[in-house]
Amino acid sequence: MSGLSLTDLHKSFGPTQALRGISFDVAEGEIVAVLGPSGCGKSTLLGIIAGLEEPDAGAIFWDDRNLAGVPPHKRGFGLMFQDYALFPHKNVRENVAFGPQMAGWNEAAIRQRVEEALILVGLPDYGERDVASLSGGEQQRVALARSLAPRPRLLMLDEPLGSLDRTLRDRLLVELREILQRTGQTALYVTHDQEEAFSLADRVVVMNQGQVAQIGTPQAVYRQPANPFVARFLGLNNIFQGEVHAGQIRSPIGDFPAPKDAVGTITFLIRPDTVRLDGSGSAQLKGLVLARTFRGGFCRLEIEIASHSLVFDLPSTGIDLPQPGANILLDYDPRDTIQLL
Amino acid sequence: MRNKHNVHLLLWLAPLAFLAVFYFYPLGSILSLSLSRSEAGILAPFVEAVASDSVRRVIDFTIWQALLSTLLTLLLGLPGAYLLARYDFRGKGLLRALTGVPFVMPTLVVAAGFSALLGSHGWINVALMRLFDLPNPPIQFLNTLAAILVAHVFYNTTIVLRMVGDFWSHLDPRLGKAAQTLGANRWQVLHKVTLPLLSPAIYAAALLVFIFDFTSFGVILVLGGPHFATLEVEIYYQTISLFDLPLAAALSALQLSCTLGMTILYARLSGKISLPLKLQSRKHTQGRLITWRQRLFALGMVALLLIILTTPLLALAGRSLTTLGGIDSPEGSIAPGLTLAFYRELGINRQESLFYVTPLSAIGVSLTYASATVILALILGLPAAWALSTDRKSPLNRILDPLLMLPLGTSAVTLGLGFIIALAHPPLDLRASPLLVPIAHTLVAFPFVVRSLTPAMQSIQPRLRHAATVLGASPRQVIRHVDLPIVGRALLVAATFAFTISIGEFGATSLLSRPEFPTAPVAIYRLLSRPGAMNYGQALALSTILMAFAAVGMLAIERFRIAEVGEF
Amino acid sequence: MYPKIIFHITFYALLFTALAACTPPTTPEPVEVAPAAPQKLTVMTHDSFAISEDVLASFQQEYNIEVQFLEAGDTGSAVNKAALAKGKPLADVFYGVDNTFLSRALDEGIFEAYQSPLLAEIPDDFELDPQHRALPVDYGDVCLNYEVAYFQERNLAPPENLEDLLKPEYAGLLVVENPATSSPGLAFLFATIGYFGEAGYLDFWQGLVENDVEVVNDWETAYYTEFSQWGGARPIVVSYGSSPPFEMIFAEQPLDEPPTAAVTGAGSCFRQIEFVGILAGAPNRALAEKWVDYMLSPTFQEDIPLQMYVFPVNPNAELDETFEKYLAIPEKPAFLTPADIAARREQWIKDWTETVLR
Repeated sequence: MSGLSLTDLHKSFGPTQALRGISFDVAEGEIVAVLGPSGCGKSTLLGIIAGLEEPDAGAIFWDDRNLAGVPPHKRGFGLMFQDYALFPHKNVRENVAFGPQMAGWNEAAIRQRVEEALILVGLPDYGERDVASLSGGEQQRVALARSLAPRPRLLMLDEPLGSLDRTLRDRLLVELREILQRTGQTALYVTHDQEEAFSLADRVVVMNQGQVAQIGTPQAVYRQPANPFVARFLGLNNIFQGEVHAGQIRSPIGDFPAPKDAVGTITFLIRPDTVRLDGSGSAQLKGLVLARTFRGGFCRLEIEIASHSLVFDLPSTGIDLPQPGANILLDYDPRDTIQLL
Repeated sequence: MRNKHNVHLLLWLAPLAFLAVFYFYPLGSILSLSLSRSEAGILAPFVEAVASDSVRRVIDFTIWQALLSTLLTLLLGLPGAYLLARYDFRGKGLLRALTGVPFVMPTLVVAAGFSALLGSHGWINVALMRLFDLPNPPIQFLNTLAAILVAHVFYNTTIVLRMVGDFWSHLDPRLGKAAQTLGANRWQVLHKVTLPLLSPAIYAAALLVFIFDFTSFGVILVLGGPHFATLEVEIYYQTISLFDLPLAAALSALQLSCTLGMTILYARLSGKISLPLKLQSRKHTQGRLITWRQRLFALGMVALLLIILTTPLLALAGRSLTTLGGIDSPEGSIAPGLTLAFYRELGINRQESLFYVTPLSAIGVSLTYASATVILALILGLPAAWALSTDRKSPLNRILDPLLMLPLGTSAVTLGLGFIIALAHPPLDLRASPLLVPIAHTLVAFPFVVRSLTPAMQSIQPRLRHAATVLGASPRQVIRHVDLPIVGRALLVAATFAFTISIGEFGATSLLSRPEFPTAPVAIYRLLSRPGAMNYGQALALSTILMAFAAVGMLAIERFRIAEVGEF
Repeated sequence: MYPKIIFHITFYALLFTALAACTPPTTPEPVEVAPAAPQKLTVMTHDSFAISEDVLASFQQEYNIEVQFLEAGDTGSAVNKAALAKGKPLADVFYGVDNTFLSRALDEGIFEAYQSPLLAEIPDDFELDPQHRALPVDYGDVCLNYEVAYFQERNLAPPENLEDLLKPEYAGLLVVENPATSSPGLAFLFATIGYFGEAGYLDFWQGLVENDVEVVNDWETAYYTEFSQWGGARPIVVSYGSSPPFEMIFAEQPLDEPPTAAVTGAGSCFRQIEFVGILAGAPNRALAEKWVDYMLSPTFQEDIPLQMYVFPVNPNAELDETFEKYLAIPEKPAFLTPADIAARREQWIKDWTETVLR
């Protein structure tokens, strides 16, 4: 296939196994996000793809060519670091021009490319600025321009928005997506933030403890987490175990209608965002409100059901939500709300 | 892990080989040869040294004067460090540079400076005698304990200013403010917050000052006079005057083991200040002088530093420009006139002597040796600094780091004899090699070079190298475009240190230089050891030129220094 | 991370060190070298050694010998180095041991005998080693100097001998050097021992202490800092008999008379004689003999005063007229045999230290 292909990558540091058999592909022009908690091996993976580190086992292919033994500077991959790693002794222009220079472009081409790249990231007149004088957002854009300038076959971004404040991050996220798409850039984007991954990527690879936990489009992953880890990581915490008997799940918090294909002992998720208070559901959950937090577009209710605490998100407009201490009756449709993991 | 040790070992190879050949081997040779001359066995001299009352007195005095000197140096240096750390004012770089000049000046020049200022007919005594119509000079300075202490403060204050000042300038001042909001008064802030945070830098600076004071030689001999002797002076005396080489060797070994203990401690402490708490950039820690109190403090501090650290050298420069006839009369009644005669004479070799080369060409010799020292010290210092910067706490680095400092605390007389004995026969026949001088200078400059380079190298995060690599830079290009430019300024600082130290070094040079190639300090010494006004005047003029070189060097260091934590 | 670079650095550093270690001393000599490859002679000296370029050149040309000088610190250090290198000599010839260190050199056996034909021209007084291991080259007298103007302005007679120094009118006027650290200081101590004898010299020094003598560690401090002719307050200093003529020669403005004078009264000066010798086991004995002969010949001897500030032992050497006129010749310099000096020097210095410094 054309593009990046990883097969069964392994890497250990002493007793710590950072990667345990990672395999996935990134097609040309595709943006793939690697999503996972810190310490799951994301950065190690980028280092290995870039060639900064050697895998213990497994291989990396680009257009079906094995990259083993190709030194990092000859792979034609770009990497944008979490802390940007801008060269403090060079100004903005020199930073951006570095890649093309190393690639041996001629002066005119370099000049033109630097200008393009700076316009692309919205900093057209920043060329002569000292990098130390830039704000965090500006540094981030310069780093992006620098990684884009040599036209890498693959651009890897390591938590590029991690240290920015929320507003700035949201804005840059949109711009970043636009820039990547406009240039048709193949990209591998590493983050721990699901929102970033979902809004940017064509496909998401969720990683856990050095292994791939799930691969899919953002919608697919969010709608149908493959396992309790992915569900929890996406903030879906109402996870319980039960036994299926005659179309019913018997669980410590009560009985629920079982999905069609459920048999034996199962783990299931009660999705928090599919319940209502309008009495229209085909089933009901009864509980005691423990806490209520206003979250802008929705309200988060902590509800005790059979001595277990569950979380539900309800629209904050429309109906008055009960106070803590009040009893509550939640409507839901088992097909939407009860998911097997 | 294993691999990293091997890399360290490889990096240390050249510096270690150098130390082994040019330090440990000569030192070992002379100590063993000296001790083997003892008729009562190798241990007898040690027993003698420990049992002797006079040796005990010498050791007591050595420690006592070093403690006192260190204390006084801190007393002047700490407020000075505070001024440099917390305030930004015009001429600060110049002030730092000027306070660094004494550090590299040879003792005999400094002694001439002090006598021009405070001698019986120095500027101050003459002025006082005229002002109050006194028959005799009121200030007796030379040959007193005070002279020793003042000279030590003069030499070493810059260490405190630099080490503590740099560290202090990166400490977050908000910590103090936080303490104030928690109800601490200014004194409590200093006592409970600032000083504890500064303590590694203060201890390291104090220890380094103590090492220099502990091994003091020229200052004691020339300014202290015959009533005072440190261990180093006693070694000289036992070696040269009494030829009791076994006892001298025992004393050398004693001094060396003390120094080693201190350098180990120093390496630990300086490791702490190079990787300190979360440091702040200077912009956030330095303010302008706003209130009259701040201005008054700054004014007083600058004046005090300038008076103590520059007036002796200025007095010397002044005297080199005045006719000496004026001080002939004990009343000092003839006003001295200005003259450039001594400077004009510097280019002339009146006696057409082969060795009595013109003082100006001695400067040429000094510059040549200094350049060789720079090259040698950098070639050896770079890999050592590299090893230290990758992991200071690795077992190998922990062992080797203190060794670098050791030559600074070794008796020059002993080592000088060792050089001649050990390096005089094939395959290492360096008897008449002009390389001996830069080699000896490199031993002295080495620790300073390493300590200027290490923090800069530590500041290059591996990420920058990675960033360059993934942008397509080959390993060679990474060095050229990332490492060298960033370490470049530190390299310049290190080079300037090596250069300036070499220019001013006298002790080792006088024992090793070839007679037809005297350095400037050696030429000064030769001029000073002959009677006659022109000789004395030329010595002063040449000293002044040497001072100018040192000042320019120190200014260059200020200019190139990266605003990072310096280690000295 | 970059093993190649590390290798390069290490490699070049080692290469440089190795080259540095092996480089033969090839500094160009400032004199022309004869066409046939000259033979090499190494001469070890102390740091006051000096020679005119043309005087050296004439020797090198005449014998087609290239002389390399090895400076070994002050007299004491140089003797120590020669003694420590005994058996594996650092040079062929050693010049610069004086009579205060002569016994140490002879006892250590660093020299081998050479009876130069030129010894015949030199007065026997100078020949302290009857076995001709050390041959006299030059001498200098350590004498009290005084500032002429100081005594003229006060109508005070300058001191004439050692006893005068104890008189109340000279109280607080004298500065001397510490014999433990200074060569003229040691010579002056020897003068007092020679004059007052071992029984009396400490009493004399006790008297000096009571008369407020000042002691400093080195000649430079005594002369240029404490002596009233130069920055100091004391008009009498222990210096050399040759200092007054040098004050003339190196004056800022031409002078008619020297501004200082030497005290030459009986026993008040001590004569330092410097010797040359061929080092035992010298690789180039034949060349070494030629050099020793040359040092004793009038050509070299006449070059001595203006180069080294001491005086030729060979009476056939002619002196510059300033010296003829102003050089103080002591009436009867004190004398101690090198053997006495060798045997007692440490004790004398210790006793002196006890009396004067404690």
